[in-house]
Amino acid sequence: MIRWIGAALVIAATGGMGLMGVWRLRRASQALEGLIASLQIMESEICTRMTPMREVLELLGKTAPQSVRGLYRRALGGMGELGMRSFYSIWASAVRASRELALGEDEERVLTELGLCLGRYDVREQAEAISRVRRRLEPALLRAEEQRRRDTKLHAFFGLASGLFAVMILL
Amino acid sequence: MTYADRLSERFDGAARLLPGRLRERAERLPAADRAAAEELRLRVGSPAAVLMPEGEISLGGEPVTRRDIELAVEIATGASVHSSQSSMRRGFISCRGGYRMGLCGSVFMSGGGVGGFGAYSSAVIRIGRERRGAADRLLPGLFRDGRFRSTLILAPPGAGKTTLLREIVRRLSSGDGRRPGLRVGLCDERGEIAALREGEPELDVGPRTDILDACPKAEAAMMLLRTMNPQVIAMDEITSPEDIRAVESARNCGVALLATAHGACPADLRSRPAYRPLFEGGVFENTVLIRRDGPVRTYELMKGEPL
Repeated sequence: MIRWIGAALVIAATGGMGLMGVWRLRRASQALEGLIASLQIMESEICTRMTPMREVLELLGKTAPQSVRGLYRRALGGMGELGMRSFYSIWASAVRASRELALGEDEERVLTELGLCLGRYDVREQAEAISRVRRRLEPALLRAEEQRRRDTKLHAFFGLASGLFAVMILL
Repeated sequence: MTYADRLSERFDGAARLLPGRLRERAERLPAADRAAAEELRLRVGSPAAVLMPEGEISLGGEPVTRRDIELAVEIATGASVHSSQSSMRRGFISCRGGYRMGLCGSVFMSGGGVGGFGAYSSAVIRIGRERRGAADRLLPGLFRDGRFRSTLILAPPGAGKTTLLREIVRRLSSGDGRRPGLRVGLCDERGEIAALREGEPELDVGPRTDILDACPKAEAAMMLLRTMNPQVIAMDEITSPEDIRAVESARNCGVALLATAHGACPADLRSRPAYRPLFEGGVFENTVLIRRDGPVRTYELMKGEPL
């Protein structure tokens, strides 16, 4: 009996690891999707309503897709240090700290560099900079979705299969 | 809190618009100097300075860099240059708390007008303040037959026109035992007079004052006339032909006016063609000249039709 319980635990554990992999893939594409959508809102707020940056960050921290709210909340939290630190530094720290976005090196660099332009230039230039970042993130989103489609079943299969394999050997 | 404490607090608010290292130097000034300071000045290549009634004093330390001014602009706009774009094209930023940051540097042109600043060379933070009681002796002379008469406050830059305007607005709006308060429509284009923040004035302009903030004076005066039924319309620094047309239109609607203009004396204004419609139409019945000798300001009221 104990053997069968152990076998079930091994299969559950490896299966769980496989599902974790699936969840990570899903989270990565959701975060990129959310980021692109929130940048679209940011562009509209800055260009159409000329909303001050603090209000933009507050709005996105509350209404952006759940997966990216942390980025805007961290940036908003840093605004109290404006004057002691530049906005770029505040934004860059927020991007660095937002590990939940699971950005690749390139995407993180592009998003960090956006801080050099945000709030510093006129509306047109900020709009161009935000659009540029969105365009650079879109291929990453396509890649992430492609990877998710391709690897979801693989992760699940390998998770369960490795568990079964281990059980067969151990039994 | 004493008046001197309040003035020191106003200075501290202005110092908070400076980048960290310059702020620390400004905050080290003795309380008496902080209370008397009128402006904070940054010029690339020179140490930051404070304008006192007697003249500028240096804050010492490392010279100001272009980056310092960029940071000050970032603080003043809340990292939102886009929100202050229209005023920056005219060379200033209206900051929270009723401070105004003036800017100089290399300007670039766009669409036939000033597009913005390419590189900053200097900045000045003006410390707007309330001087309660400043208009006490002046106020009775601004009325005739129980009615407030259109008044122009005339002085060179930095003499305290806005401060006096604010105090007269507050007194007119509040009224006193002898006179009821008047409905004052305030055109606060640069946000310096009332320092409106989230709908509430940070500086006291009285209980019966309706404020239009960040709106060009000409449009603001017409909007107030159409919507708020004011008894007095107040505006700071009438300079452009549009402002002067707005003043004339308001006057034709039977509303008393209270305004300020740059100039040492009425003859100064007469020599400028843009102001001709004002003195040809006899718009203002009172002129207040502000004379300044160091920290002491005296007000001279010229009644009748000096323009």
